[in-house]
Amino acid sequence: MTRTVPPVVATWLLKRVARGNEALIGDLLEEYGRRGSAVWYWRQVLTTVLVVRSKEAVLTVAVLALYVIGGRFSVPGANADRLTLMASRAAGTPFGLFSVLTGGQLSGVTIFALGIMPYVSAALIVQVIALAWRFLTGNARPHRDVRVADFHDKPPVSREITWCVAILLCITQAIGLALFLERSSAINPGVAIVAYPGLMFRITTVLTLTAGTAGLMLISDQISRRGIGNGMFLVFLAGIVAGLSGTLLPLITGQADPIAVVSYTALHVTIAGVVSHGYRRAFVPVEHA
Amino acid sequence: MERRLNPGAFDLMVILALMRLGEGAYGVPISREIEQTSGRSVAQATLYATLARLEKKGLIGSQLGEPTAERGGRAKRYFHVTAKGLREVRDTQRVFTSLWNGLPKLKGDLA
Repeated sequence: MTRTVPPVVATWLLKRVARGNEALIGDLLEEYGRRGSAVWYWRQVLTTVLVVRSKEAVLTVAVLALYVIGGRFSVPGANADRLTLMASRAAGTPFGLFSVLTGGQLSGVTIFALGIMPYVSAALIVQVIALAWRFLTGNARPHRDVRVADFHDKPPVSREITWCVAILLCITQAIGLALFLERSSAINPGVAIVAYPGLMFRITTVLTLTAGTAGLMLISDQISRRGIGNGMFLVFLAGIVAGLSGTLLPLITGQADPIAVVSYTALHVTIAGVVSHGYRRAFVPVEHA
Repeated sequence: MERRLNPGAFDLMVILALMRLGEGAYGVPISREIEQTSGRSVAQATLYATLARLEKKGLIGSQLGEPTAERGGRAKRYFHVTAKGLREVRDTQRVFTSLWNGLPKLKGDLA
């Protein structure tokens, strides 16, 4: 007699990975009922993970490598070593906390110091405004399934508007960061982070940081547009993984406040949840009879 | 004009399996047919990736069947070869036959 209930964990994994391909899941369940082999079932599920998620896995590793390489390049004119030193002494202060939250990219003033966050924020802002606008004008529509083709032909909210808002956020944050670095240098002239403060430094910082984030946004869009996966989520995830050493080391060595541990975890889990859920529906293939 | 042959070896095996099965060709019997004729195990995910690619090329078509209890209430997806798929198979057969006929007789392990 064959077993009819397949391994629960394998089935859970299968349903997560092959979401949208009900025929494939049904086939494996049916065949398991005939064979009753847990080994066969697990092998099929793991192959499904490799086949369905291979492109996403490769892309995540590629973006991760990009983050690591980009993390070696600092904004021209800023002394990254001194800023890292300052961040290590600033445990418990807002700067120390924020440095931990950016996975060390901020304390190194790298070209990816702003990460993908401006794009995430812009997407959320634009979505909320669009929703409010539809509600106020009485055009609120019931939720419906969206095909991949529908999403790319008629995106829920214009990508161009989201891009513009994201770039504006980048510029604002970059100006803030440049001014912060200049003021820190003015307060501690002995260990000045910026050797030559002024308009040129601010322009260079804004251009470098905006270009870095725009590059990440472009990669994110390409991943989504080609239907490989949720680009924004993948880039965000790669940023977290790439920054793990910059985040965990201060926590392990006790340089970071325990509040940072809770804040880091809560913030990233929340953002990852929002980013993952916000765009999931748009990429779920819908089966039509 | 130069024409590119579309189906690869596994693609061709899948299309031929569909033709052998006729109606009632869905994932389980297709993989079983290929396993029995080739003696190699087939991963269901690989089979579905191939079926999706062939469907995108217009060589095969599909429709959903009724859900069944043994499949956890999930419907079967039945596949069939399209007219374009049939033409492609005939072309491939013609090319392979021509190439095959030009070879000396196979003797033992040596061609």
